[in-house]
Amino acid sequence: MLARSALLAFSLLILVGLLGLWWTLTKDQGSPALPDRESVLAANYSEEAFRNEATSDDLLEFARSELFTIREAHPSSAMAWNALGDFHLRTSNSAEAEKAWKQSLEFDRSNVEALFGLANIAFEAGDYDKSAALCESIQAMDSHNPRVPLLLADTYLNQNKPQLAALTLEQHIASEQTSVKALEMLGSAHVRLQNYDEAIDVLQAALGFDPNSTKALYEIAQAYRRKKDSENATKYLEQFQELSKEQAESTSNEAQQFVDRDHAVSVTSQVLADLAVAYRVLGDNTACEDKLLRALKLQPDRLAWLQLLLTVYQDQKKSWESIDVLKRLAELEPQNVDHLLAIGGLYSELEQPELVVEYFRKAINLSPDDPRCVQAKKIIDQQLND
Amino acid sequence: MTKSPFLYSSAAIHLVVRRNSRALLAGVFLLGMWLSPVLQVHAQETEIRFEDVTEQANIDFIHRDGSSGKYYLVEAISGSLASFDYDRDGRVDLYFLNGAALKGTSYPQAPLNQLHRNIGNFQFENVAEFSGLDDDAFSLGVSIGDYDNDGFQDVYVTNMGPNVLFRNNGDGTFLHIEQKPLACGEKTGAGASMLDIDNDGNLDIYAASYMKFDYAIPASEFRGRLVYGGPLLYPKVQDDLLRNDGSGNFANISEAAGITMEKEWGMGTVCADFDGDGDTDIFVANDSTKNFLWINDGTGKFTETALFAGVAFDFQGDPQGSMGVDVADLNADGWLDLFQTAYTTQLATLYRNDEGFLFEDATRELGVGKGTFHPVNWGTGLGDFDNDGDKDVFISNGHIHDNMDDVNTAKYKCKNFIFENLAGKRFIDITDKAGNGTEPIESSRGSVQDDLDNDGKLDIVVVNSRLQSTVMRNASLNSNNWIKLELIGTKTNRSGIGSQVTVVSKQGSQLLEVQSGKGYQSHFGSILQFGIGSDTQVEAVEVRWLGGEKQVFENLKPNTCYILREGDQTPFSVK
Repeated sequence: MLARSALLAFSLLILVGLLGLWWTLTKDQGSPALPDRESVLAANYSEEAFRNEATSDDLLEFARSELFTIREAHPSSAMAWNALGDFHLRTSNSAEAEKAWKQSLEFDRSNVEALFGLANIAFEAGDYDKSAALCESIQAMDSHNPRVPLLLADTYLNQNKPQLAALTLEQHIASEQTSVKALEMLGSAHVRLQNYDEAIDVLQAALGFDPNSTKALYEIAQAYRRKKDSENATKYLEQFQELSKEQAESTSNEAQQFVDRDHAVSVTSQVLADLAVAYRVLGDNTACEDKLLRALKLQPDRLAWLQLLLTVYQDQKKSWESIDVLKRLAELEPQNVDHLLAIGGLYSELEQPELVVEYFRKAINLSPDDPRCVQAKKIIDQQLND
Repeated sequence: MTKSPFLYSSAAIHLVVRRNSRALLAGVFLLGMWLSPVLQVHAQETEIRFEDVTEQANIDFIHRDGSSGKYYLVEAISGSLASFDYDRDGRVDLYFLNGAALKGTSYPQAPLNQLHRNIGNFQFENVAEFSGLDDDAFSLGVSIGDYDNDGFQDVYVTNMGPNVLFRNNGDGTFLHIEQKPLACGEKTGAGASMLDIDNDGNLDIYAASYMKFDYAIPASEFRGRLVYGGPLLYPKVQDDLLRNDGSGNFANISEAAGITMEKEWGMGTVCADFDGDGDTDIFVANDSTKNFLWINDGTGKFTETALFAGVAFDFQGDPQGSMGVDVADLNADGWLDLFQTAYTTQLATLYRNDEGFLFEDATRELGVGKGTFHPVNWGTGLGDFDNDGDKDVFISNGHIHDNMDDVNTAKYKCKNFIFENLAGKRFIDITDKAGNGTEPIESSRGSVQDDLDNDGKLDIVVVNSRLQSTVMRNASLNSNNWIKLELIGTKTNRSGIGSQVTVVSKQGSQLLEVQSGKGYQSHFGSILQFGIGSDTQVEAVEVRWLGGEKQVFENLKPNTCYILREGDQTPFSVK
């Protein structure tokens, strides 16, 4: 849903930008002065959790206090309870997570997120029948939910139903929701079904997406082993071994030290992002913006959150703030021409012709064959020639 | 002991729920269904029952791990035991390993290893002091076998510090054999197994090692609390292979045997002829890394093959915090399968042996990992608890961290599991239907299973960290028949270790191998126990002595314990 919103926002921005480019370049007026301002993303926060030396406890305590605040203000918000459930699951407390999600269902019985959380808990506890039933019901409500097929397929594999697992994954992949994990699991299901050639094909595709997938390498080797092709089995096991060793060396010390600050950062920022979505649903865009900015303070590179923040700013016609976010997105995705075109479009709205041209030129240099860039180039060239 | 991220973590963005009437209807339906008993899995009825007889057993052993709040890792891994008949009175006795004071700990009396003699009717007497097995080392693993072929079972114990071999004098006492190679240096020991690597009739010893412990390596910190750090913080050390020359002398032949090619953080060990070539191979469950499968060439030279055999990692190539391990033919195909326990957020794993060429992780297919994701699993044993002709599974559980229950799904104290084998096709968790034996909720470690009251049913004893052990009497609700077999080698080693027995009755064939040292760094099962269900006749018993020589015994009576001597066709029945 977010992807669609963001795409729509981009398209509108770009359309506006191209029209704006023409208008800006043909207009014979001075530009408003650029405001002296810092990026919204550079804001600092005074809470302990945002200090460099914040401990995991500081962070998690902050997350708890934020969750408490929303529950006090909106006690019947299912999404607030969902955020609490998610927090508890992420901090390894399944019992509390289960309570939170059950509470959430009291307020919204068709609450996919809570049902998914409960399915996840059932799965981890080994109650595969319950997990499968919950997943299947979620699918009846929300057939496009991207996470359910993976959990459902894993549940089927644990129920010794590899055929159903394969079918679920194939449908998931066919619906253009391919992921490395889906391909790895489908490969695993095919190995279980003794469809070794299919397994190898699928796992090779997973490797195409992620050459560092040790799981795909391992499963390919298993498929070859079962085909009695020891030469290929050995080849893939050796690749697996080498890659695993590299990965283990890079993470072993951290894992063994139980260094949990990174985990606390991840949990707290996720809570903030969850709450941002909840506030948005509650119609409180100010709180939504605040939570997203704080989430991004902790994890500045989260594309999805930046995109959501952009949507929030677009809804509020906050062009300067939108540009701040788009510039960050352009840093993170330097090959994505959409961000540059959108920035150009926004500068056009703000009547900044030099910046419009600057960003459209960047876009043209990056993707000269993109029809929008071709169009932009025509406009710029025409105006310069005139 | 790696920490795994939880599965299928959600992204905030997907929290936005699209509502429509269809969804609402489905949701209402679902909630009702979810709350209704429709979804409650009705566990299959089972005849397996265990009764908690801890009080009756009156075993005064209290496990000590040396803990003082400093969280030295070695504390968390201690807690093993052995069951064996040390005095040959026909009753299986219990030997408990204890920890010792570590830096910062003091005990009014030094914790000691304890031997408890079985005096019948589930009662035991502490004979540790008299026996000389009351060692005060920080003990970690134990293996039992008759290394000097004198008819009495000897004891090898791995320690934090020098390992120790105790020779059974045959009069209820043991003698500490002091030989430098037996000590294996100053390592922190793990599982040990006796095996005859070259079939010369003398039992050798494989001693795994966990790490080189160092007080200077600080505890880890988690959410502001001190917790145990994982093994990878400590240097790994070489396992040792000790060769018995038959005159009572041992030599460390690790390098010559090839086992110095690899070293990891070892835990449980088990030895068996996995590839069916007549010699004994070695499996080592390693913590947080790949396992070892040392394949014997028959002369005592080993090659590590775990990765290619498919037992190094779990089904997706992930290393596990492997702990305990046992071996049995779980699907009656004539090949010995491996079952191992693992750390939290990992499933205990069943490796099915496909004709000795490769193993397959069949955990999910057979359902034997169900419910093992959260708890830390330690001890395990494969045994036919209901004597119906297939081997069931026992797993003992308990987290290492004693201060995380408020923030952890995996608890310090948690229930142990029993899975019933449904003819090798599927396993079901029958823990909650199997009587009050699993009701004591402690932080368990090693476990053993043997017939402690000679009623033909396997009983279980579980060591609980820092507490009294739990004794579980098998009170299963059936009158299924059984046969117990003790092997005595005459050309091969006297304990019969490494020899395989196939019991044939109307319902089919069953295979077991005599082993020394298995489970979580423990020992049990010197006497082989086979359930034969309602079959009233044992058609044949084939013994394949170590090395391959076969001997067939016919018309053995069910519900009897026999001693089978190599080369002697007359089985000796034991009351």
